Amino acid sequence: MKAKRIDASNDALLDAASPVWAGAEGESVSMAPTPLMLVKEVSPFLALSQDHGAVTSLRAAALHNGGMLAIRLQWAAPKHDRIVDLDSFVDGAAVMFPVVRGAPAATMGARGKPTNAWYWKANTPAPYEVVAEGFASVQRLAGRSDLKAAAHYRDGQWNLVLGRSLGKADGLVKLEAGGSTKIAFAVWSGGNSERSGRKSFSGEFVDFEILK
Amino acid sequence: MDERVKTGAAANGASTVDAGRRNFLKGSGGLGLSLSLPSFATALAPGFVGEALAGTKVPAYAKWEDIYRNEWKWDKVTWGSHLNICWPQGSCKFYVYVRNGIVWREEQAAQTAACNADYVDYNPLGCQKGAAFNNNLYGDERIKYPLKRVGERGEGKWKRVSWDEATADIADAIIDGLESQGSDAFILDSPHVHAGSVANSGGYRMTYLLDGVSPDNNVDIGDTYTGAFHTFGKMHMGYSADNLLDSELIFMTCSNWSYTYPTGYHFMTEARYKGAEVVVVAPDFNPTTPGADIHVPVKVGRDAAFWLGLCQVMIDEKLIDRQFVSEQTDLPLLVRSDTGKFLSAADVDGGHAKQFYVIDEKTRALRQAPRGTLRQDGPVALEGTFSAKLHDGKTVEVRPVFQLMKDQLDKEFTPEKASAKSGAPVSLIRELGRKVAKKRTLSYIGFTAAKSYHGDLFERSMYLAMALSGNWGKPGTGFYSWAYAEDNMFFLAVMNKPTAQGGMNEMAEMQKSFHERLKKEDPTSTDEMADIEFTKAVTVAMGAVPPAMWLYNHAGYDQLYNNKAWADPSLKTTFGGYLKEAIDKGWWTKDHLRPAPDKTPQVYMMISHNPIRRKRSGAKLYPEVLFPKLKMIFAMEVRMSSSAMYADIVLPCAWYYEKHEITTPCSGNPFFTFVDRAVAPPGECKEEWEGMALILKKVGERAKARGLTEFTDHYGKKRRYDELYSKFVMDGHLLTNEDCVKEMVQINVAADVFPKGYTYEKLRKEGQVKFTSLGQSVAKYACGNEYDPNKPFFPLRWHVDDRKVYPTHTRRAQFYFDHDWYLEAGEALPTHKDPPMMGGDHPFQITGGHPRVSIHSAHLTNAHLSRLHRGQPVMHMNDHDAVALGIKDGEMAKVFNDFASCQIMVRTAPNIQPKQCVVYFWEAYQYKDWKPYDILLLGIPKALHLAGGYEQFRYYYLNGSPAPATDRGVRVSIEKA
Amino acid sequence: MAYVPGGSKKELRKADRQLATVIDLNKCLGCQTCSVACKNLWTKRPGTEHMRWANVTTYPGKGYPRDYEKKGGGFRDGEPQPGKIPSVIDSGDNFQFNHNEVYYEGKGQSVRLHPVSNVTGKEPEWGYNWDEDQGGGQWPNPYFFYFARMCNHCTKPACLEACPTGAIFKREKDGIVLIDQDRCKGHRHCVEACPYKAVYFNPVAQKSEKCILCFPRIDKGIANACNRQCTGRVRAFGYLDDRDSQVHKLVAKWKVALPLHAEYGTGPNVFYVPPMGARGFGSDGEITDGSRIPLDVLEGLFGPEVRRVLDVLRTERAKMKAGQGSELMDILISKKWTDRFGGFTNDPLTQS
Repeated sequence: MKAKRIDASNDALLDAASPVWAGAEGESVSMAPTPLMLVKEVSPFLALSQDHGAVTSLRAAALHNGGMLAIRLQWAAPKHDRIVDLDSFVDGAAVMFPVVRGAPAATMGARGKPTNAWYWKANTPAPYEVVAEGFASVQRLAGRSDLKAAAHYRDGQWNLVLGRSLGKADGLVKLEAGGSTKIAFAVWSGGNSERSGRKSFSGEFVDFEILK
Repeated sequence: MDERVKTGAAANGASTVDAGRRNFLKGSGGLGLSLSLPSFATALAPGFVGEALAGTKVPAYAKWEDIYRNEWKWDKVTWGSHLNICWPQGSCKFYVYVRNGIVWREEQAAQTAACNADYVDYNPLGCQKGAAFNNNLYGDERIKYPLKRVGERGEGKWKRVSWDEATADIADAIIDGLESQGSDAFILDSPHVHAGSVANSGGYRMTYLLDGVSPDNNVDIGDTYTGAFHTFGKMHMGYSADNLLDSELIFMTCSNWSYTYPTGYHFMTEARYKGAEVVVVAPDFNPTTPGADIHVPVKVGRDAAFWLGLCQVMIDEKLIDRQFVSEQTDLPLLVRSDTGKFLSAADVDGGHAKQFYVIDEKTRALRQAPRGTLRQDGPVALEGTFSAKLHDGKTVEVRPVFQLMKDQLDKEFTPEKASAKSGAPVSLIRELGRKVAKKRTLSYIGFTAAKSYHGDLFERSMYLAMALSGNWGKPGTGFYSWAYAEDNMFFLAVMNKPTAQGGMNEMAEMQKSFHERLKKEDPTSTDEMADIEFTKAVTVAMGAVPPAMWLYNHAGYDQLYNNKAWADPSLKTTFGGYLKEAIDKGWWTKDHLRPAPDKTPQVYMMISHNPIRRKRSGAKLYPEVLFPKLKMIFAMEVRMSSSAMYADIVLPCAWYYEKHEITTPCSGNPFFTFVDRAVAPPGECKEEWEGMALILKKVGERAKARGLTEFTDHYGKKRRYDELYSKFVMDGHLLTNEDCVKEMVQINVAADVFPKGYTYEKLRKEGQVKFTSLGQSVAKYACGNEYDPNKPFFPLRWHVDDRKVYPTHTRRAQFYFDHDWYLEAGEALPTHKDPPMMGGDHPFQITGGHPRVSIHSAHLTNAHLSRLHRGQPVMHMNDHDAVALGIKDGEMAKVFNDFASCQIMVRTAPNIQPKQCVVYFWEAYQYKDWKPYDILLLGIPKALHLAGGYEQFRYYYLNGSPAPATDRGVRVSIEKA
Repeated sequence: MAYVPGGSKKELRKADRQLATVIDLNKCLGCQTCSVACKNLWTKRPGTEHMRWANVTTYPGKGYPRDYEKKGGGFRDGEPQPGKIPSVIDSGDNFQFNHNEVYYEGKGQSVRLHPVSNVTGKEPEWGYNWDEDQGGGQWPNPYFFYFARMCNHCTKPACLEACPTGAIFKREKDGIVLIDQDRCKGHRHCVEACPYKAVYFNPVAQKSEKCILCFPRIDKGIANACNRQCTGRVRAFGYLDDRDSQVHKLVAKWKVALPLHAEYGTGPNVFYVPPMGARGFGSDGEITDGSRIPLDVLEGLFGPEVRRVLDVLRTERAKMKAGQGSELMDILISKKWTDRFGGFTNDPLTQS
């Protein structure tokens, strides 16, 4: 996947419906249920989950304006953006990057091979970053980036833009124009009680270039 | 739904949920723990990730634990309790925790030791209501400002006014009443002691000074064991809860400790582990029964037949304690077959009318039964038919009461017949009859006995079983847990000057003069009898009156009491007929008939008491009949009760923890507990005492402004308006609750209730003191045993060990009443009668009583406690009955009888006896149209209890006279609403 | 502190000692003082209003949370079992009332004070303790008993096993099972996994919470609130390995206190003395010697040991009756209330 540079304001980038996004090369990403055998160690109960991975495809696109990188995700889903009862969950999405080369996406990294992900939940105004060296060591990090999210639900589809300044790192993945990294995606269908490892996942990392 | 916003836990407002669709987060604290990422900091090597994920998070653990640790913090802790609200059980000693000026929680101090190391201690002592009371202080039911009615009564339209304005209105109404018709205009409707010892004394003191009238609280609520009162000549014969541990067989009847005595319940279960058998006698398998060995499923109102069956077994199988029966009871006394009257010396030799006879067992000759002692001069005959020669030359047949009793039992109460009448299985009657005879037996008979039409027969039958088996006056015996030393309240209400200035001496002198006078008249009389006479006099001075007549004459209850279809068919006439005869015979005088029938009550005062809830049928008859007569209804209240809703003025009062107070305990838990002023009361709440003083001060001011100086009391004596206030506060000695508690400590020391030299300062420091004696008022004698703080307490020992006589007609525990009315009605002996068809010919019988999570109505509407159950009135009924009526659990039913109807949610359960339905009470305004189940209850008093002219058929404060609260077993029909 | 990076379950569930509670169902009177004590202290905070960490319901009945026994979780033959999350209403709701409308809005008798569900805004159809005192059996042999419950602070907690973020751990020093509120992400796998449904979701904090065994009190030597405030003297508390403690004597020595649903496989550390029950009536309506509580009902809760335990209770009670004394009965009576608390006898006057 490639993030082209265009001349647009941050606000325009953070608007999924903005015409600027017409210039992005969107990709259709095929999504699949997380293989829960992988989490048996950390939660044998979670590993019992079935019927997760309700979202089977996702459209992803990326742009930057030299200052901010924006990733737009769009997927069709019934809307679940409120916790209405104790057994209700909300829609969510994440993009993940390896912090060091060779970090496995399927397990969210491994000891010594951390990953960094951007999380968005439909009931939470601000997205957040996590680092992880595997499922059981997901750590939310506050105050380390300017990650922003703008989400709109329209006509049975979520339109989400996640954006963060280029260049800075502070333990998170370093994203710079002219560089390349890898990327993976996850989506949670709240209506299907998806959370944690119960999710749709794009599979192993794919290349991600941030064009100059 | 505005009310939900108002009742929310906090006002922050949640932003994360759709409050329009779902409300469960509304009013909660918002996204307190949400995460955000405001800025990007300096670069960090990937190594940081490892650190972040590894052990360096330890400090954060300590941080999250603070969420919980911060809850376990406070600014100060003081002593607290919940004043006399559960009198027999209460006086629980609590720590009260204050944080940021708010009572945040309370917890049992648990410092109530065992009487000695061989017994179980009382800890932790304190129930769910007490442990949650802080919620009441800040609940939506709390009243914080004086309110004046601006709409119709009961409409809920109010204007906030000042105390000055409110008390001026009340004062003017009091003066109007006194000026227009003399004294009987001011009514203090039977205040409950749960406003506190000080408030309770204050209410009576105020009534006493205004020459007002107060329908007797204890009789009014049906907490009078008439069967005991008539059998023993007294009723307040309690034991301490640890007395259960000395018992081998424990009957729990007409009560439900699981609901009403949670703090004492463990004594029952622990006695069971100690080897005692626990038997619950109740129509339903009630919530106490899971802790019992045996359930005796008596039919509603048929308990007497069960007990009489036990008596028959004991006599038939020759298991009785003849010595005990011969001495303690009237069973050996001879009764004339021709008249049914006791054979008396007036018959035999023209002697004393109350000198009775026994048959000497050896000589088979008549012998006088001693009047000054219970001791018999040798064995006496219990069985047989004898003849007695009278001084007029006639010879009459006489038989001992025992023989009469035996004949009746054999005829009507064999186990088979008793079973058919009571519903108790034959095998249980036999087994329990034998066990009572052999085991040290104790019963706890609750106030359902006092609230059943023939409850006196239940009691008399049960006492007979205890008499036959020798089961009273010994450790591990007794009937209930209700003895007290209430000198502090009793005397503070009527004393003229402080203890330190001889106020108590004055009272003691008065008391002594009664003793001396009576002894002079009758050397065989006892101090107990003299004290009853003294109490009668104080009762009149206080303005306490039998409540049945007040309701009959002024509140419309004549239409219930005189309804022939609902009356006991064995009675010769209506309640009104009996009342007329009793008045004509002088049994009831103008001291009792207040307000006089030709006068009109005008000013009606309520102190934390809720007649709309508790007066049987009151929610109908008070608004319809009584209230329209009243020019002023005012309530001194802490919470908005159904009754306060009908008031013209509501005065907000300080609740527990907001005023200095002292509990006045009963023997179930013999500790006086101090209540500190942990926080100031909210809004404009005042201590009741201060509020009453303000009213009386205002009466003086308004009288002066109106050019009035004095009024005439009902003795025809003049009283000055401008002295009312100074008398109330004893010339400035009693201005605050704290002043009163200090005085009460002195009274208790003077009355030997507290140890010699005990001080207020010591009480304040220690928070609790155990009584050292039962004081100087009636309770001391009623219990008939000296209180030993180092032993469990049981009653009637003086009578058993010392052979002291009882204050009854025969000077013995009396099972035969040769009173004409009782002879006519067939109740001279303990017997069984089916309950009358109160309410009409309807298939169900309603029972009930105190709910689990409220004491009286104080906690009924508290949201916190109302979340411990369905939060609304429910009626328990048998599951099969419900099916037959097509009603499912949770559905609404219409319940009705000839008098009224109400709607209530049904709760079905197999543990309710078929054709029984059970309602534990609720506030009137919790029902549709504010028609509570209480309006069905009628509360028709037993007309026979109007009988007088017989030693123990009498009234004095808290004792005697018909109780207008006989609601158990009222007839109703049920249909799906 | 037992947190381990990567969430090693073995490390997280390690405990040197174990605090335990014994609840005597022969003494429980269903008064709710324990539940009130707990709620007043811990679950009045925003988002916790529906929770009843300590709770009492009538058995037979649906229990709390409603039908918790039918909601899965725990282990069968060592294998984790799927579970369901109770709803707010299952968890007791949080009724709201219209006091102001009744008192001050001038509507008179046209309105009544009544609860509405905090979830639906309508008349509630279920709530905490909704089936109180209903019980089971048939007249004339109805039966029920009160059942006090709390988190079992299990030896092999399913909640801990289920947490994918390693937020749940046992305190090493006393075996209290805690949820680290910083690490918890509110995924609720613990709620699904706990077969007793003793973990509750706080929708405001979006974290799961549960009974903390009053650790701020325990840390000061004060017995936990539900146990200390129990007015029925139903509960004993202490370290399971403390040979002087009543819990040890009842569980290990006399073996009369049994875990609830041991078959769930979590190793619960709350134990119950089963109820002896009142005697039943035969088909002829006459009294029998046997308890009216069917044995299979009790075995369904406490396993096949129930019969033996009831025999022990009967035998020891008979000894007391005969004046021969019984250590077991003395423990169950506990003349000195403080003996119940395994040394956690400080007054509740030391704050955090």
